Amino acid sequence: MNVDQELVRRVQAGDKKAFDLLIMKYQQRIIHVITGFVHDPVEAMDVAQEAFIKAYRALPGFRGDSAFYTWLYRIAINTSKNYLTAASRRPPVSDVDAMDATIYYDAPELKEFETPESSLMSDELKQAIHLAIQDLPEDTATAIKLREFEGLSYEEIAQAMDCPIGTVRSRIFRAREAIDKQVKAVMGGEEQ
Amino acid sequence: MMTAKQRELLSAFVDGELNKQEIDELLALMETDKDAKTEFMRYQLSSDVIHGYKSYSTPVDLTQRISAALTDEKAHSVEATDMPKAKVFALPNWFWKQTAGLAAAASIGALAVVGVMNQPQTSLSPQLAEIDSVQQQGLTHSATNRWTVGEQEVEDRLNNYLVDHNEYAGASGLFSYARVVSYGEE
Amino acid sequence: MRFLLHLFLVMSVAWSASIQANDKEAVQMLERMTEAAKNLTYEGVFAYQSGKTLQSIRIFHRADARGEVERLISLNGAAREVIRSNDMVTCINPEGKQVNVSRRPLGRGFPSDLPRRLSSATPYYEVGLGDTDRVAGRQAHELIIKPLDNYRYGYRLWVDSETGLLLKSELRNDQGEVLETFAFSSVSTSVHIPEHKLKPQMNGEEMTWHRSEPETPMDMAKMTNNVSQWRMQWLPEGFALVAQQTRLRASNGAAVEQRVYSDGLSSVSIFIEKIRARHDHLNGGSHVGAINAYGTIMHAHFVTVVGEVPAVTVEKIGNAITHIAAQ
Repeated sequence: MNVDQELVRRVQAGDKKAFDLLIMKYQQRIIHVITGFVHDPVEAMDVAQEAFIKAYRALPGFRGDSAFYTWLYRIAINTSKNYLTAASRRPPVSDVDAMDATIYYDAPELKEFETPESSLMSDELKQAIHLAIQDLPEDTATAIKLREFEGLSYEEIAQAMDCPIGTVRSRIFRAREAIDKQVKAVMGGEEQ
Repeated sequence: MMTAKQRELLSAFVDGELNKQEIDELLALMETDKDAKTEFMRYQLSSDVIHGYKSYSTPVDLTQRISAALTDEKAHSVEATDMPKAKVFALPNWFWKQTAGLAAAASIGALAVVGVMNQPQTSLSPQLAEIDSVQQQGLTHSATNRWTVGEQEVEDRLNNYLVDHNEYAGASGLFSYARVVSYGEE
Repeated sequence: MRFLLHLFLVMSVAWSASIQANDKEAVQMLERMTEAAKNLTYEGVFAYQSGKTLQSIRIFHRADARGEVERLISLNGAAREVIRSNDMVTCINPEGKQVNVSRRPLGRGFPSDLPRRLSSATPYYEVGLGDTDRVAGRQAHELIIKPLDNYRYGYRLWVDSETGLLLKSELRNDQGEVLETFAFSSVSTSVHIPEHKLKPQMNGEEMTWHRSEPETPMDMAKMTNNVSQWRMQWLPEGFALVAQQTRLRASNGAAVEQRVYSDGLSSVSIFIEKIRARHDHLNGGSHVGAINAYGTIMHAHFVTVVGEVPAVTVEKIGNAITHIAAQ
């Protein structure tokens, strides 16, 4: 079952709480995308909020012929561009309208808009995560790598590792817990 | 304090691997346990960071702001029957798998071909879904700068191979990616 | 990687002992050319011509302590781009609205490891020096590389006298017809290339993971129990396996095995992909410019041979692949 699709269906049927789950899942990515246009973090969050609200309002018309995130991504891009136009700032040189959401590439220019601290933090997080993965027992490490790096579904991982889906799920969970321990340590360090 | 089983539910949500009953459980958990959201957002953050999303050092949470802004908004009431069933249900399963796996497309070491998602009208036609046997494309010779094959899918696959092969191609290594850049230009 | 290095050392020794005197200067020039391509920072515009296709391409190449980054942008037609960094290849096609990101095979074979290749290629080609010529306003030495049989193409290379940079390259068939030309119309070396010139023109979403784990492909190979089930019954003389990897196809998660065979100069990749759904595949030959491909379906796998070699070569290789179970 496609979880996003099911959540969308529930929102369409009147369950607002299901929309919260979609926000929770995608807000970091959407904020990240918007930060490529709107560099100020506070403004970026406002634009993100606006994008999610637009998405909510438009959701009855969402037909599911693209993935939910693809659709949301487009809304975020348009909202950002509108925001920039309204603020009569110069929009980015490239015409993002021409682009689709199914675009993948490293956009290193985004780094320039980060403060040195946040970029440092990002690197530290990444490093902590990679170290945590390295320290995992082999089965757990393989499961999380296949999931996160190779993008396989639980079912496909189960096939590849020749084990039940339930085992895949708990291995990935154990990996996430181990990673989370490191992530918490990094975040804890930040607050002090 | 959440149980391991509950935290496992959060982890499975990061991966979009829940059934309907588990979605109910997750919604209930989010209602009753404040930690659930924080915990989930850290799991999601780790996953996002792995996928290269630069993030603020701590997860930002907009759910409350947005819910607040939406309080006065009417809940939707689109009946399932109002959905244009024919179109939605004509989509083959592999399509959903593929679109749901956006992250997969980017993260897989092999070349990610996402073109199919941009051509719903051709690639997702019911006719294609109903093709019963493996069809092979015949060859035709022409002087154009494209693979001389009929199907977009075959062309995409050959283009993946072209890029992967170029890494090793001949003495003109310096220029070899020019073939990729020029692909399909007349 | 270490294996490759060993291979290189072994071959260098074997080759320097056997090299003929008249080839020597030419081969030294080739070595210098390879070094130049790797170590120089340059910026320029070159033309790529193949058949009716004529494409103008801008190239930025920066080499420094951080490694190499290269960006190619087509100047006519859609503004396609390819960006190569130390371990990534990103191909952007604005027309089809798609961007493909690929981990670079073997991570760091970039640019070409020509000396290693040439060491093994020498027996199958005649390498000689041609005249001096002017290319992109620079003085260039011409190198002529002719194959000794019909299974590979020949090359003519023009190398900058001053820097050793490859300025022009032609791929020729056995009739002497030019199949493909790359030629700089302008180029500057020793330039400073600012960061922004190495970034894609288009804004978009960042979705790549950082490939800091060279062991991942190995893990995959171990995990999918990837002992190759395929054998080559025929290869042109001198072709040997130089690289092999298994990766997962994004669109359907199918494992794709790539085996690269090379005689040191020309190379052929064989792609073997398990059919995961009902899909079409190339049956027979096809080509793009000077690259030929030959496809068949065998044991529920798409088998495809791709290389900058004559059609007859990919076809013969394609027909000589067997599945172990079938033997």
